[in-house]
Amino acid sequence: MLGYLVHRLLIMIPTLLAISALTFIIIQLPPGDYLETYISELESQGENIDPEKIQQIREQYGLDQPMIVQYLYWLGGLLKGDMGFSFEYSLPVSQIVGDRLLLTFIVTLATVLFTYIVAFPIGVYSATRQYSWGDYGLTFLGFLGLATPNFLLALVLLYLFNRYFGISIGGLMEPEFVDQPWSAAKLVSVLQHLMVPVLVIGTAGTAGMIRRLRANLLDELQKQYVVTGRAKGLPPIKLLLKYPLRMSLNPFISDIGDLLPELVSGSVIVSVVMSLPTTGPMLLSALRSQDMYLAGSFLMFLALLTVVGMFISDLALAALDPRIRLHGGATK
Amino acid sequence: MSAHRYPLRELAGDYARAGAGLLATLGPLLFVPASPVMIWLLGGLAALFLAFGARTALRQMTVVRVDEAGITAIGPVGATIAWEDLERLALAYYSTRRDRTRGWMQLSMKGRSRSVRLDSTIDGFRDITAAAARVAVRRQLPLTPATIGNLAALGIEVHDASAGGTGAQVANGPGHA
Repeated sequence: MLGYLVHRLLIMIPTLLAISALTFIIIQLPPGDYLETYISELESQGENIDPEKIQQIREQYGLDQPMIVQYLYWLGGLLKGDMGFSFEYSLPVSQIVGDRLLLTFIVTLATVLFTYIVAFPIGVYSATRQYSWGDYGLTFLGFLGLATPNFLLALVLLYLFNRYFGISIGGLMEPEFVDQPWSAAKLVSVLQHLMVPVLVIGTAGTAGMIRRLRANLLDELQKQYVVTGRAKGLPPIKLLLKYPLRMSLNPFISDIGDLLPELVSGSVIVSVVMSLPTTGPMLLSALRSQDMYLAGSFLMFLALLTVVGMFISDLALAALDPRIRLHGGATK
Repeated sequence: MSAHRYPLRELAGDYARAGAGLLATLGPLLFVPASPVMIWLLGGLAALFLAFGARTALRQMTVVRVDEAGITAIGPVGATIAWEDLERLALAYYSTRRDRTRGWMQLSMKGRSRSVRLDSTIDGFRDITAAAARVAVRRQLPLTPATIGNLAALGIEVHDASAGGTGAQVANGPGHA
């Protein structure tokens, strides 16, 4: 396994470097930079700006340097824990994103746990009780979850939770805790407000996962080795847990890689609708205003989540099912 | 009795990987005053690559002997497993590619108190695996479907003795590995 770990890590490092370079280039591709966007905004409001002052600011932030120099400066900064300077907020990026990354992480983790805790037993139940009333009912709920737009579900749940549980609309905490240091009361408020976003963001993923797990498990349960085991009198639970469930988990685990970044980037609309202080809306705003260090840091965070997610799912798959594919073939 | 070694040309790739990993992790730490989090992260990764390099060096110094009594790894971290003490056998296949091609196999054997792990890069890997598989079937050790599938890919057909089979049979074909 150590060899596999090293092989896999050696793929991760250049991948992250390549992503960082591409991210930086793509952010720089649109004509102009943040200052030009800012100047045209001011000029459209009838304000005049001294060109010398503009040049001074450009030099101050290194915008007059070649792209490669700016990139290396940013990359070196990342190693030092300095993610650059946000032009839009006139603050270091680390100060702006700190709390948002933490809240995004909390929302993401809660959603992943919700997705797996709900999808796993339902998927197994649906597969082992195929065409029962329970299977039909849960399948119907699954399709409902897949078909309902997240933002619509968000609006409905916001209303219901406010009406019946008194939870304030929007945000991830009561307004009095915003910008306050962390405390037990603030944590409780965050956990109370977490229910709606977790339900909204997690529903579609849960529904999809139930469908996939059900289909995979049904495939496995119809294989000959299961029939043989049943014929030999193996207890049903043992027969289910020993191999079919394990085998059907493969696609389930390989989903982890896609799940992590999707939960951050895919929930932008929900975050906007629900005024969540997560990374999604800020990334959107940074990309629109060409706030390159802020946008670049967010995109690197997403890339890191993707690469780490893939790494975790590959390790789990290698541990779970280290089988060769007969049509493939090893070279060593 | 047969003796097996890891060929230098195969180990050279692992040395290069350990070197590249150390360069990629220690390099930035030497030239940039990194944050404490990055120091721990890159330092941890560097330790991992260092361990991999050390394992490669140990493999270079190791000779594996297989005879009718058992298997012995002779080297700085040697181990002997008598066939009669074999308790577990697993054959895993690893690949870093999405289509699971161009990978390698790892044979893990566990005796009473010692274990031996061999990669498919060692000379005569198939012969060692066939010998171990024969013992595993004779001793009716439980083999996972992954192990049975990987053995089949090597051309080693295993019939589960507990299911009324006749034991391990080694086919003549070259297999897939």
